[in-house]
Formats: sequence, structure tokens, C-alpha cells
Amino acid sequence: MTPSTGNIAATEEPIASRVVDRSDAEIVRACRKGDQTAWDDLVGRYQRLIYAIPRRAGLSEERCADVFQEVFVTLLEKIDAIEKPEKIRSWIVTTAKFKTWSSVRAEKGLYSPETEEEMEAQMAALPDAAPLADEQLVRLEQRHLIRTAVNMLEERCRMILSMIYLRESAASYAEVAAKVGVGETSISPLRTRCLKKLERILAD
Amino acid sequence: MGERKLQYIAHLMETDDSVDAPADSIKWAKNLFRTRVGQPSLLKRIVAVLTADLAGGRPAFGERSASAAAPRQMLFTAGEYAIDLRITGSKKKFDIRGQVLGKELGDATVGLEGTGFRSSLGENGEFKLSGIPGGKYSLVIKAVDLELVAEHIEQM
Repeated sequence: MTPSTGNIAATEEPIASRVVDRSDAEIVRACRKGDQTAWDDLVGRYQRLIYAIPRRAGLSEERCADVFQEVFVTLLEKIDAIEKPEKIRSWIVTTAKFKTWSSVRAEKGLYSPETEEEMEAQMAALPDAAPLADEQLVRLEQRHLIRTAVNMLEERCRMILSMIYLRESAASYAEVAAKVGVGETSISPLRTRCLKKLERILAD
Repeated sequence: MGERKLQYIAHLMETDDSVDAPADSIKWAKNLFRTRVGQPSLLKRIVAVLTADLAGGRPAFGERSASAAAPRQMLFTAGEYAIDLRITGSKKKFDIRGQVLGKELGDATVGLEGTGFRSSLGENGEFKLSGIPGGKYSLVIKAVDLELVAEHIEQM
């Protein structure tokens, strides 16, 4: 594990305060019954991850938006047929990867793969497929899970971790202390406690 | 080991450079569900019919020709809609200004099929696509449950 080289750009907006109260499987089942709010939740939950995949592959903003739309169109078409609703995340990542790869190929005027197997074979043969390599996607998924888990923390921990780790520029301990309403020397142990709570959520 | 895992989680958060998808894309995706509820998919695709094509004219005899050539104007009809296009620029690189007229389309996007040229429709159904390399394109307007397609768009 390499040490952090500094903060990376992240959104300035605070993490949504809504606690995640439905599992992926429950949301998918609700969508199948025609529940619009479940679909809204699904879009909200996965929009960042889906958008990150073509973006990581270096596609333009317009192409990323196209891939984004195509994934949701396909998800809506196939939602009744997905055999394991609890595995929807894997389905989404694979679909976004497939559509990103097709878009990359189309942009180069090359034949697009018809199946996942063909895609994997093409990607294995080319060095420039690195942005869509499994390890890259695993990282994107891990970050998605972390963000989802942060949303499940109680407000104080959510605020502490968001301010320290998920902002464009990390907040100082003084800033965090002022926001949370504790002494500055309390922030470091609080931060550790919150990270442990986050880890427990991720382990569940 | 526990400490290392916490450090790894912190590292992943610190190095997260992901961003939210564009707000209009998220809204579009949420609205997509309405095409499903209670009935089969209602996504309709209408290929528009070209009803007028005024290629950029040469100035009339006796007029000064210093000004830029008039834009090519193409008018299409697609069901209850009309698509008015003005194409300016050269064969090698051109712009398209357009307007979709007719019933309210809601949150709609317009793009050239198979390319990255894409925009949202403005309040009055207006849009602009700039810097398009020479060639023949299909313009696609996508709303929640409808697609309008104007084919064979190029600069003469």
C-alpha cells in the first residue's frame, strides 16, 4: 500500500445526509413493482460509479454522458431479468465497462464487441485498456462502497470523515472541531473512532 | 493489520477523484422510469421528413458578395414536431443551430449519432452544435419516451 500523496479533487458539496435504508436487492425488487422512488434511489446510489467508469477510460464529457444514459436504458430494459438482485452492483459495473469499451472502439472507428467474452479478449490484447482493467474497477467499486457506507454513519462521523477525506481540499482539525463542536485535540481520536465504525459497516 | 486497513480506507477516500454525473443526465435517468410504469416501453423513434432545404444562396445579381454566404436551412417534420436547422461554416467544419418546434419535450438532449457532439435543448427548444468536421450525420433528439431523427445532415 502506497501512502497517500495528498488530497485528490472531490466534490465540495457535503455528502447527502440521507441514511441508506434499503439494500440493493430490496431496491431492485421495488423497481420491479413499479416504485419510482426506488428507481430514483438506484440512480442516486450508482450515478457516480457509472459515470466514473467512462471517465476513467478518458472519454469526453459527452461520451461519458452517452455511456451513462445507455447503462440506465439497459438496466431499465433488463431489470426484471437480472437473476440476482443482490449482485446488481456487479451487473452495473460490467455493463458500464462493456458500453465504455464499445464507445472507445467506436471512437477509433473499430469494430465493437458483441459479447462480454469478446470484449475481455480485446482488452487483454491491448495495453491501452489499462483504465478499464479489473484492478481499476475494483478501486472504483471500493470507493463507491465507502461513499455508501459513509452515508450510513451517524451525522457527526459523516461530517468528520467528509470534511477530512472527501472534500476538494481537506478541512483542518480546527475547522472540523468548530463544525462538530468539540475541542481540536478531540478530532484525531474521533477520526479514528469514525474510521473504525466505517470499517465495521464495510465488513457487514 | 487493523490499522493498515483503516489507513487503506482513508487512502481510498483521499484519492477519490470521482464526481457526480451531470445533473441533467441524472434527471434524465430518473425520468426514464416513467416509460416503464404499468405498461410496455413507450420509446418511440420517429425519422423526420425533410420538407424544405434552402442551400446557402449566392448573392443576387448586382449585390455585393462581401458578406458570408447565407446559412443552409433545412426544415424537417416529425409527427407533431418540426425541426428547423441552420447550417453555417464550410464543408470541412460547420456549425448547426436549430430549434425543435411543437409540443413540450421536457428534458431533451440533441446530438449527432455516433459522435460526441451533444447538447441540451434550451427553454424554447433551441440548441447549437459547433465545430463539426465535414461529413454526413444523423441528428437525434432524445426525450424521455421519444426520439426524433433527422438524417443526411451535412454542409454543402
